[in-house]
Amino acid sequence: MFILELCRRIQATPFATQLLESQYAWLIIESAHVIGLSLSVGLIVLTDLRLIGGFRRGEPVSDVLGQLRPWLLSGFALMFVTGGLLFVSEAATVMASPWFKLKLLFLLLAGINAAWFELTLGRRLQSWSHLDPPPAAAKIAGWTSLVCWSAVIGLGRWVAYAHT
Amino acid sequence: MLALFHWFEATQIGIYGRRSSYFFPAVEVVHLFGLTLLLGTALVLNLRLLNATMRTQSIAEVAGATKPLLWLGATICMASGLLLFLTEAIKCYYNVAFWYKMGLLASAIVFQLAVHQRLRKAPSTSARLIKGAAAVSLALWFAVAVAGRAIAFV
Repeated sequence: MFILELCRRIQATPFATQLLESQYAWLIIESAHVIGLSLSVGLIVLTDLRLIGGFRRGEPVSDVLGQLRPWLLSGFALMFVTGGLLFVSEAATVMASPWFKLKLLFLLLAGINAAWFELTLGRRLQSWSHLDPPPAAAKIAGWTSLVCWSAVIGLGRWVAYAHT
Repeated sequence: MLALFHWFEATQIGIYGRRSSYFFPAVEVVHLFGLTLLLGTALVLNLRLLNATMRTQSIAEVAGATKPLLWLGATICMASGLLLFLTEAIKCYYNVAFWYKMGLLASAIVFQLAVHQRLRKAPSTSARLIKGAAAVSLALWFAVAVAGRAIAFV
């Protein structure tokens, strides 16, 4: 399989080996990944709750989204960089795990959901930002995101257990 | 003290947790969910106090919305954390990161209840003092998480 072969080559690079065998780098990256998770997913949970109508109902959706977005995106950058490094260090090992593939699937679903939201509801935010309760489509997007990210966290933890 | 930790480890939950291969990771996932909620809300509340987000909303409004979620997250963390602790109490006893974490956790809770909330509500508190308290609160909660992660590594 092409992807598995590619992962094997990534894991075999000197950089990946150094990363995995370093005494502190890997631990620091792994800790930053887990704790950075609270930064990005914690803020996603709050924005999802706003979309569902369970957090800061009195405040327009556009305000909550706009205010939290820069923090959310910085959290994301941290997650992607640290996650990418962790992946490189054990690319072939984790790619062999079904849990990791499921995690990628839910990550993809979360991305599609976010893109769909931005392209449809996000485009005409001003027209429904003040509505209470929020429109059904916004609620669906909120719930979908909550479910996807919960799955990503759970599966991410499971990947580590499955191969030790 | 060690005898007490032996007793914790010998509880029914502790025995069950060690016997089951799913108990620990499953509870750990719940612990992570709680952590996400706790740190996410602590971040928003303290960033608001630092004037870094949600500036159009008053501090009281943001605090009112985040506080229940913050304590919900803390409760989920502590309940699931207790279950994790019972399955490996002896290991925790000899783990230096565990003791740091407990110290930091106690400090974070006491600071949140005794200092943070009072400063925020007192009408005469200077803006600089509130910002200082916000920075301390953020640092404490994140330090709890870092020390917790370190339990698995030291």
